[in-house]
Amino acid sequence: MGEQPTGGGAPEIFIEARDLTRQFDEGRIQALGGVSFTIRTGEFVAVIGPSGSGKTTLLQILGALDVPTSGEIRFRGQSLRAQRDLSRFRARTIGFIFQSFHLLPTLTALENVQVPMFEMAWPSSERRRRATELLEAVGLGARLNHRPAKLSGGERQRVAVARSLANEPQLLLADEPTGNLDSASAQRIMELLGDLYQRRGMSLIVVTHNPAVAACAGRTLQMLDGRIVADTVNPGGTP
Amino acid sequence: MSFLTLVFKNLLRRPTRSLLTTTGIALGIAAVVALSSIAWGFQRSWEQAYTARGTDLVITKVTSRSPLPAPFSESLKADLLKLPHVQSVSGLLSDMISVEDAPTVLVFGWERNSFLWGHLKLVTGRWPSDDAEKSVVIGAVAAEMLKKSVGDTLHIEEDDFRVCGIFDSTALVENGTVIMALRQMQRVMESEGKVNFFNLRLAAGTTDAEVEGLRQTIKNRYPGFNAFTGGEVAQNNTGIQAAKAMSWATSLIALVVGAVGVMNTMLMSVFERTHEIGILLAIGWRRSRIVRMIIYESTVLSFLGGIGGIALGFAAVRLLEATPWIRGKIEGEVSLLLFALALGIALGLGILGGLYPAYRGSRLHPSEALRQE
Amino acid sequence: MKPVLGTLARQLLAGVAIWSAVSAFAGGDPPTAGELIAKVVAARQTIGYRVRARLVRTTTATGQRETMQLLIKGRRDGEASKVLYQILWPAALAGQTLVIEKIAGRTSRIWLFTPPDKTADLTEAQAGEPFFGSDLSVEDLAEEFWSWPRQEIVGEETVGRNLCQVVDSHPDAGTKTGYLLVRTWIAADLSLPLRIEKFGKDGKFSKRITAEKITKQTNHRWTAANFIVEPADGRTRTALEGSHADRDLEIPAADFTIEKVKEGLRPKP
Repeated sequence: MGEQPTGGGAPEIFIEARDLTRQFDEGRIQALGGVSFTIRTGEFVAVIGPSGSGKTTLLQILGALDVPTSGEIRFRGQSLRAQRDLSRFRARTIGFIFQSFHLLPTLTALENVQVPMFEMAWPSSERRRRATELLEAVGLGARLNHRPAKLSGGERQRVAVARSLANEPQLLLADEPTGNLDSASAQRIMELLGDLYQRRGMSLIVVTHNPAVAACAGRTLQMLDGRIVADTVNPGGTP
Repeated sequence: MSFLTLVFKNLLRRPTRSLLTTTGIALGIAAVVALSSIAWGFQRSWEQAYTARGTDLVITKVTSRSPLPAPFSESLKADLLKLPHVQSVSGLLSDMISVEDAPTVLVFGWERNSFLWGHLKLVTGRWPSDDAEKSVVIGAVAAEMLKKSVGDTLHIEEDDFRVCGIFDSTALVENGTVIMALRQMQRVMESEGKVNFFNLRLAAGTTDAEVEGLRQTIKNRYPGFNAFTGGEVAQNNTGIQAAKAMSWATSLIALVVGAVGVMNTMLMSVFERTHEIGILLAIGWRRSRIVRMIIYESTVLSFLGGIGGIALGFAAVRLLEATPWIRGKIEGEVSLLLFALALGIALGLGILGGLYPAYRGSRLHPSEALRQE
Repeated sequence: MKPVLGTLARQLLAGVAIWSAVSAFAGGDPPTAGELIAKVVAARQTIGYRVRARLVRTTTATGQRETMQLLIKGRRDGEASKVLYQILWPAALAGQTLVIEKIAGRTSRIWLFTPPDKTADLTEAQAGEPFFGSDLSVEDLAEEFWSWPRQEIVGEETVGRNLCQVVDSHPDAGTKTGYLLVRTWIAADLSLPLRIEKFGKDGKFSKRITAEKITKQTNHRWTAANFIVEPADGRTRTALEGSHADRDLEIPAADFTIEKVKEGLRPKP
């Protein structure tokens, strides 16, 4: 059974969600029906559930891509609603990884990783340096100038991972990161993610319907019909 | 990679479409350049006539309907010479006459000992030697049109004239004219003692204010008469006004078509990329950056179209100048101003054409775009 | 005491009265053929005129052109009128002069002068001949059809931008003419004929004359500067293009005498 680390105080609360609801179509569709949880800095949490359980909606709210209909969500005490510029917040705080990679096809790996960096004030030489470093960190130092078409599925997702780290975010959000990969690549990606987030002191939230993937995380939130039905700790996963 | 590189790469994803849009812009800009060049050149050729002669002011009777003013008495010359700053006065009588096989030719009668002749260059033959001689000099273009050489007879109205010389003028418009001594023209038009224009040369160093004062004096002292600078006469020429209006109207149409083309291309591009724009928003791009990207794309397209169009336009001007209607008579204006104007219009097109698509692009919600998948 | 007519009734009556008056002034009835022609003829009236014109005959197939410069003078003395057509150029033909004299709209005499001193009156048959080699006949120039007895409006048609009344003119048995029917399109508001079609004695279409370059003169009169003649066979085409026209001039009667015509050739001093 996982325990909160002792000594030096528990890690601070990173995300606090309280009674989140999200309705669509003027209330006809209730995607989230009152969700509450907290996530601490440095946690690796998996959100699992069948399709329609609301996990994607939750992901979008966590990613500041969407705003809840009611309820409160705070990042380090700051309410999401109070953010004047959601994009700026997103750019600096959150890194995304998608199931379908979503790389820009006409750009090389190096250029793809630089795309989020325009919002930071770095000169282009700095951008290039950081992007190179990130691609080397995911093991693609030899593939800097390849376009996505020339990369395998696993390599593409690795570029996407490097991209998600571009602006040094505090939170990594992955939506079915292994969904389009074979099992060997899938495992490598999960290992990579597990390694990176710890080293860089980020929080990692993975949304999936695959129990094997969820098992990698130290904590699992189970969702069904727009609610969290279970919040369990995985002894075998990475905390 | 710079932001601009990204913009270029986006355009290169649809090379054919980008090329077609750029070509559309290029054609529109080429039309603007070619037509404006000819229209301005047309106006300049008329202005040139007066600057070439060294005429500072043109005195004539204000007429509403006829293209050329009605003749009036020469005696005004004595009074005009007494006005301040006036150095010399030359009278001329002109008319558009149907001569031999040609529909109409501008025929001039110039005072023989006047500054008007100074800028003409004699190609062959000689100038009319005295007022009694029934001879004419014709411009190089007129010689071609009427198929006359030195020594031939030219029948004007009821008289036979001898072509005693052929001239070339720096003012292109004069190259299609026939010139004789004033006395002869007065006889031909049965307007003895009359002229329909006085060309005034003012003393060197006359200031603009003094010229303006002189004009007012003439208007007040001689009711029914007006004094124009050479440029104004050109501007008031209905033919020139028509040419300019036509060039503006056609250019406007071409540009509207171009702008619509750009907007259409960009809209298509935005709608194809809603997903991608969603990704960009998701990974942290601000809406303003999306807007900037789209407007940069449309502006780059238009800019390239503009450059191509300017080159095409100037080539078209050279071609037009070779056609029989224009050759020798009008020189298209090829100036930095026109270049800058055309480029400015191209950029404006790009920005305008990109505004609405950029607006639509920025309205996209990242989650909506992702959900499309 | 109550008025005889109520207020409403009085207002209605006033309205009807005003309406009738306005209608009367507006002149409801359309003009008759005679009135139209009278308008056209009246609009042309002038004591004298001088016109410079270019006569060009083009062969359609080859595009070849024959050009002549003409001087045209006219004078009116009450009911009598004279018109003179003199060739100025080319030199080979210069001096040939045709004079058409009319009284009350009917031709009284047509004569042709050919330099150096040949004068001949034209017979009826010769009146049907081409005028100076063009597609216009001398009879066309005389334009007698305006005075033919039977004129009727047969329809309405828009020519260019103007609505025209179509008037058919028929000669009577005694009239000397090469035509059975002359049909004119008259733009009533311009008092100007815009098109004339002539049909020969066999009833077949002979030629069409179209007016071009229609402008308004300073005294609100409309004129046409050019006339295009297209004969039925389409092999040739004639244009009579006026470059200068001065009206209301005092042209001396002597100008139409043979002596003056001969003299007119000599170069001016």
